[in-house]
Amino acid sequence: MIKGLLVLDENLASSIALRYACRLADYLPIKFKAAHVEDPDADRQSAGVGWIKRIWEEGIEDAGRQTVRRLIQTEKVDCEFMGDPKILIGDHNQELLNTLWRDSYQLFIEGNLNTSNIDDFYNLITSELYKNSPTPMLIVKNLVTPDKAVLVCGEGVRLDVLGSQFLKIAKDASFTVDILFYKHEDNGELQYLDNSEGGSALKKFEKMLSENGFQIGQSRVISGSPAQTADLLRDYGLAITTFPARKSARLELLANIPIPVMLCQ
Amino acid sequence: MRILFAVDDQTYSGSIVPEAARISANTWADITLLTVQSSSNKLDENKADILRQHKDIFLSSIEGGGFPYYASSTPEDFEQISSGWQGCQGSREGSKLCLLKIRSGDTVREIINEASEGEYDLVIIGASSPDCQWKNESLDLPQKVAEEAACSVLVIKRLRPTGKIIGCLDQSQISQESLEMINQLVTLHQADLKIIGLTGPKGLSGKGNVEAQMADILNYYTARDINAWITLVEKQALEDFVSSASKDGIMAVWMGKKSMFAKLFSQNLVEKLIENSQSSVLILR
Repeated sequence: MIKGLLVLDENLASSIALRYACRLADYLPIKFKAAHVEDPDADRQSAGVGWIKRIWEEGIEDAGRQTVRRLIQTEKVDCEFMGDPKILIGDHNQELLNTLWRDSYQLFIEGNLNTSNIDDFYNLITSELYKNSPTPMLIVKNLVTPDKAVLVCGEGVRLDVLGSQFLKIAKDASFTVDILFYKHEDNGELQYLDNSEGGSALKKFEKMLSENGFQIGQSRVISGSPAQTADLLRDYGLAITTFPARKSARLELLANIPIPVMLCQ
Repeated sequence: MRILFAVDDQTYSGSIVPEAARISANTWADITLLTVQSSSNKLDENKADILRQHKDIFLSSIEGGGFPYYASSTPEDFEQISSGWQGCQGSREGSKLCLLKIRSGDTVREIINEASEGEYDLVIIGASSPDCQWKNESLDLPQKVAEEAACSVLVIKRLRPTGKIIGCLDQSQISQESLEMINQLVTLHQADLKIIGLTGPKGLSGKGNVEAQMADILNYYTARDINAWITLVEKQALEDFVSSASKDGIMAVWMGKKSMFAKLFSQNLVEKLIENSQSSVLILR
């Protein structure tokens, strides 16, 4: 059973992430711990404000717990959580990072609404939390059904890392999985190339997955602009790849993809 | 629901009759096919014939023999009324109205007057592509109708397959009728719906209530098995986004009185949006 940390707040991104996570549990053996971070500097009316520190913290924790409960009740989701929500007090990224390391989670999930602004996406995935996380990071951009996943390969993708992390998470998954080998081409139409264009690395990757008992549906090599290719991936419910090391066409592709993206490292 | 379908004798009007028929039948709407003649002295028989032909195509485009509209077996006569002439159709109990009307005067004014006097919910109007005009009429007629009508307006420039309806819905104010209208378009085109949220340095514009409303809209569409995608667009980038997105799918923009989009979209932008779009634009009110 995979142990996932699902970060929730009372906003639209969390509402989508919560519903997506529950759908994901239909396709993966996964259980979630709901987590919420309270910023102690936020101007919040809580029963404990102004009291001694311990009571003050209890007040903030209580407010956080109510926030998560309210969200879960509003969304009327039907999935199982591991115990009560975890309420963290302090810096958002640092507290979550500590929790991921300390409590041995295997997957981090949070909602982040889709913008096509590449800088927003770049800032997110290069934040301290994302850079230093021990787990794959799943960014939920839209509410879709994860019945079909796609492994996004191409220049800069470390296929050994992608393969091993993917198998750890998805070896018992019931969704179908395709491979898309992306080649950047800004001019002209989206083109389906011969699979030999993916080179020996693609063949090796397919072989490794198959030797580990994973059946890949379709394997395609595509060239096109990031926006065109991102649009093509709308038919999937999950895209899985490694962190892009720098600002690149693949980063632009990942920023534009409207479906949830899982980044491995 | 009441729909006003403004037509003339050109292909951009004739070719969209089946689309108007499907929208009307799907929404179970009373519909009026309207054309305008300049003189008020005498009924222009050519215009009357055009309306009769459009009505035949309208009825034959609906599966099930034109239901829920009544198809008379004889050509329709016209009688004079205060605003012009109106077809004397027979009727059948339980059927919806499919009226033919000819008004006299300035075309833009008469379409807008009919929309307001008849308390219609939607005006459907075709336009030439790519220049977006009506033949022998004042410049930018479809844009003027879209801007000035008190109700929603669907401008169809060219019928082309589209996989996307892009909805700038101004989540704090959108009406149920507008949501249903978009639902109809999505269903007719078997398209995905992209819901645009405006964002700025502090996140979603009008946070809190707006976020809850967006979540409700998302729930509304996902419950109807519609693929609905949220995309955030920065306020400053809205104009660029709209001009590029309108080449890609049908734009639906909520422009009600309290709409934030109405404040951000200059009149000029609405004109540009309709002018630049390669398919259809739905202005919701």
